[in-house]
Order: sequence, then C-alpha cells, then structure tokens
Amino acid sequence: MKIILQISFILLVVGGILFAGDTAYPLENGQRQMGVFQPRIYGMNNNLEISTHPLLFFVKPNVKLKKFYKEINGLGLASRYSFDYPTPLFKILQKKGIGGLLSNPNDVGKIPHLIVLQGELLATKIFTQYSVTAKLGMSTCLGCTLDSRHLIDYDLAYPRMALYHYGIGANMGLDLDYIYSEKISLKADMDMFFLPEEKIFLEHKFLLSYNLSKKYILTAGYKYSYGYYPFNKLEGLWNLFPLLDLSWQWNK
Amino acid sequence: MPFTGNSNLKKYAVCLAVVFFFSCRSLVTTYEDVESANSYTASPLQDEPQNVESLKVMTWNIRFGAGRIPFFGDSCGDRVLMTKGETEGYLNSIVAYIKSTEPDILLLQEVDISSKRSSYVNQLQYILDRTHLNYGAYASMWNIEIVASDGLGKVDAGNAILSRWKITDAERIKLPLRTDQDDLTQYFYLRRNILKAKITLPEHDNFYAVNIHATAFAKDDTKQKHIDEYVNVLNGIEENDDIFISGGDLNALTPWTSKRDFCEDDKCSDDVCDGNYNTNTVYEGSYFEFIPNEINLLRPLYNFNPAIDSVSLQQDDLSLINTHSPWNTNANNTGFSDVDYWDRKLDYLFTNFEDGFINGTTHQDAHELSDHAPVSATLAFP
Repeated sequence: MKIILQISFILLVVGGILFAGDTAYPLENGQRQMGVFQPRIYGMNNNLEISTHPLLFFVKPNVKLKKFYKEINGLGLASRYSFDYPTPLFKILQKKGIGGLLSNPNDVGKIPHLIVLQGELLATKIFTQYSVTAKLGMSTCLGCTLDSRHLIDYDLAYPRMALYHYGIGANMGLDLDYIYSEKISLKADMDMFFLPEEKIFLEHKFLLSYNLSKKYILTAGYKYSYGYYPFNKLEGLWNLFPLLDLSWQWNK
Repeated sequence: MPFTGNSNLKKYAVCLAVVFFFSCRSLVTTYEDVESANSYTASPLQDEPQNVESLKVMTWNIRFGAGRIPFFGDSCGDRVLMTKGETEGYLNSIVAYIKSTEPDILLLQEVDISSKRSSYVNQLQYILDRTHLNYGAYASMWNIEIVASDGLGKVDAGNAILSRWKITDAERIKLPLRTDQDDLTQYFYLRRNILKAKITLPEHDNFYAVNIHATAFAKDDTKQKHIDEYVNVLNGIEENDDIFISGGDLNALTPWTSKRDFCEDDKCSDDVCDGNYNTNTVYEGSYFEFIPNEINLLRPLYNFNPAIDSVSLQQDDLSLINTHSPWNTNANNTGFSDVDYWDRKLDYLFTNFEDGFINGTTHQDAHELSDHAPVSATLAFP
C-alpha cells in the first residue's frame, strides 16, 4: 500500500509541475478552482488568490499567495509568493527497495530541513481573444546544502531539486492564453530556469482545454523539457510528456 | 525487487508507474536479437605491436569500480551511490593492476559508462585513456534512465572488450531474460548479452574475442539458456575456422566443484539458510543446483581449451583457482590469505586455438579491487 501512496504523491507533484499556469489576474472573490493534478485555488477579496494542493499538503506543505496590484496602460501587474517544505516527502522517498527514489540515510545522509521561498513578478496584457503573461522569479532555499547525489537526475525533477543543493535559483517565462471559442481555449508557455554552475533548463507546454460544462474542464496537451543533466553535461537532452487533466470550478 | 501485496494493488501500481513514466524518451533501453555494439577509442592512442608472437588475454568482473564497498544488493551493506573520489580511487587501482599485468586483450564485466552509483564516470573510457589498451567495444546489460529502487537512479552498465588493436564487427547478442520475475521487475531488470568482436591482429584476419556475463540470480532455466547460447556462438566461430578467445563471468561453478550451496558463506546477518531454495531469496546466487544437472552446465565449454586446467587439480587445490569472494563480515577485508579470500570459481577463459593457452593464472592477489579476481592466459603463436 505504501508504494501506491508514494507513486500517488509523486504523480501529484509532477502533475503540479506539468500543469502550472500563470497570469497576473487572480480568480474573482469567492471563485474556486481545482484539478486532479492542479492545486486548489481560492479567489479572495482585495485581489488576493491563495492556492495549495490539499492532498499533497500532508507530505509537502505548500502554499502560494498572489496579489494583484493594478493595471498600467492595460498591463496587469501582480506578485506571487510561495512557501514549500518538501522534506517530509523526500523522507518518504528515501527508502530501500521499490519506490526508493533517494538513497538511504546511511549512504548519502539524512534529508535536511528544506524551506523554499519563491517570489515572482507577473505582468499580463489582455487582448480581445488572447492574453500574454511575462514572469520573473527568484527562489531561495536558505541554508540548503542537499548532497547532489540526492538530486533526481531526470527531466523536470532535476532543475527543481537542484535548488536544494545550490540554495538559490531564478526563473523567467512567457505564457500565451488564447480563447478560441466559448468552449475551447489554448495555452502555450515557455519557462527558463537558472541555477549556479548549471546551463539553462528550458520547458514548454501546450494545452488545449475544453469546457465540458460550466463546472468541468478537460485539458490535454504536452510538456517539453530540455536540459543538461549530470550524466550529459556536453549534450542537451529533451523529453516530451503527454498531459491530461480534469479540473473543476465553482463559486463559494 | 520483489513486489508485495495483492494482485489488484500490483496492477494499480503498474498503471500508476506507466502513467508516471510515460514519456518520449524510453525509461528502459531494450535490444534486438543482434545489434552493433558501441565503439570507443583511447585518447591518446598508444603504439600497437605489429609483430604478435604471443597474446595475453584477461577477463575481469570489475564490479563497476566499487572495490569491496558494502553495496546493497550484492553484499550485506547499504551503500548505493559512490562519490566521484571513491569511484576514481578504485578505478585508479584497477588501472594500475591492468598496467602491471599488461593484457593485450581485456574482457571486462560490470563496467559502468553512465551510472549514478559511480558518479557517471565512463569507466571504459577512463581505463582506455590510462592504459596501453587503445580500442574498446561495449554492450550494455542494464540501461535505465531511472531505477526507482534504493535511490539507484540512472544506470548504464555492461560488458566491454578492450584491445591494443582495432576492433571491428562488434556485436551485442541478446541473451534471454529471466522468467522467474513479475513483468514490472523483469522490465526494469538486467538484459544480459554476449559481446562478440573481431580483433584486427597483425597476420590474423580471423581472430575474435567473445565476452559474456551470464545470469547470477535466476532460479529458473535462464542460466542454462545463457550457457547454451554462449556455446552456440563459440561453435559458430569454430565452424567458420576462425579463432576465438572468450570468457567472462559465467556465474556457474566448474563441473569438478562438489560444494554447490554457498548460502552460509553469502548470507547477511538477517538471513537464514533454511533449505527452501525456491522461496528463500538468500539462495539466489548462492545455490548452484537450481537447474537439472547443473553440475555439468559448463562441460560443453571444456571441449575448447580452458585457461585454467581444472581437470587435473585435486579437490583440495581447487581453491587456487577460485575467483569470487562473498561479502566478508570483516568490514576491512583484512586478515585473509589469497586462497581463503576467494571461495568459488565463476570466471573463465577459453579458446579454440589448437595449441591452447599457456600460463593460465588466477590473480588471487587482486584483493580489494572487486569481488572477482581476474583470470589471464597467453596464446603463443608459432
């Protein structure tokens, strides 16, 4: 049963990475949104938005707060702050046998307390049928010196975990959201991750969302990743992952 | 990597794993029956002898450059990921030993070329660049993007042939998979092979080297299938009137070895040797009678010329040819003599060269470098 839980947790983490979307505009006050793989998002008053993944919260406490400030010449500006504490999840994954994605404490060492703080600036320009969002962020994991052997040398995971080794990182990205019709919308984005002593990691995704009803949205697409990992420092490696998710929204 | 739990949970776990692991880059590399092996060249190249009167051949399972570190899986430890310093430290000792013994052709097993456990050091290239050997051929037996067990991570390990002279026609010949594992375990498990290559020896245009690492832990008839295929490959070379030198880690005892149960030697502190050979996993790799008539498993190979003349040895002297050492409870592996350090013969060299080998040697002095001792021998050309 433990292995099922472990894989489920990993799926949720990976899903959160794969489906993350960005816009400066928060959900309206009282509006709620959630997906199988996406976090639960709460639209609050004062242009605030809070999001967290409730299932994952028990093993990877996480919360994001987005604050929309104002529009300048039609450009919406917001900042987003997140807190993440992945230590309990990594301790679950640090085990002997199947499901052990991290080696045991006697080998490389115990997982230290990893407290990650991220701050991002978001700017969104809305046009008639589409919007463009630019993003710039800094992440810090103060005092983090996770042994590099604990990093999972695989697409998507490595650039995010490397932060726990280097202690600092930056990211920037661009999102394009296009409303094709009342039922169909498209999303494309490009993200870049910057880490000390590492080349840039690139990620791109394309999503097609179909409103099954006023409440349910079916999303499908792909995620592309490109980077240089510890085993291929000289030649970049790409990968492509299929995406599928069901999300739902409602008002309080 | 045995699964526990009921079958529904297993299926659910498999489905989740498939969803999680589905991507364009395959997690596990699979192989055709026969395909080209990978080629390597030393930097810098050393002068190769143009006149070959004798040819020294050596086989060695180098245990991915882990020396006698108490790893999980093959010994009673819990080490999984070496530091780069550890890896290169052991590799430097292996290089020094290779340089001191000066083989012209070297057959290596358990060579890591891109594994997290050995800090992604390409061990084949590392050895080529630091010895008199110029060319290499490589066939992977375990090439997985990420092994989600024990934190092992990425693995690419396999067999290699190293030579002073150019290697051509290098082939990876697939060996059957174990059939005593569930589908998921089998998918992520070792894909063993025979590595066959032509060595461009001066004045010999029909000279082959063949390297094998046969299954160690199978409790079904996989070991029989591996040896049968190995004999077939060697017979094929023989039928073409070509010459071969061949060997490797056969994970099988000689037909003259009477002791077939090494459970007491291999067991870890929590293990019990209870005689339940088929259900107790401690017997995997320690018990050598899983297949019918296993005592005669290697007998067809002795139709060729062995490097070590086991036949004429008395039972008491068989310890002189042992090549494998179990995990010794003495953590430092000290206080052993050459003979009692090694407790079974698993590594072999054969040739169909009509004059056979001379100077067959089991290098029992190679302590600390691996859990296997090298075996070497020489061909003397007329």
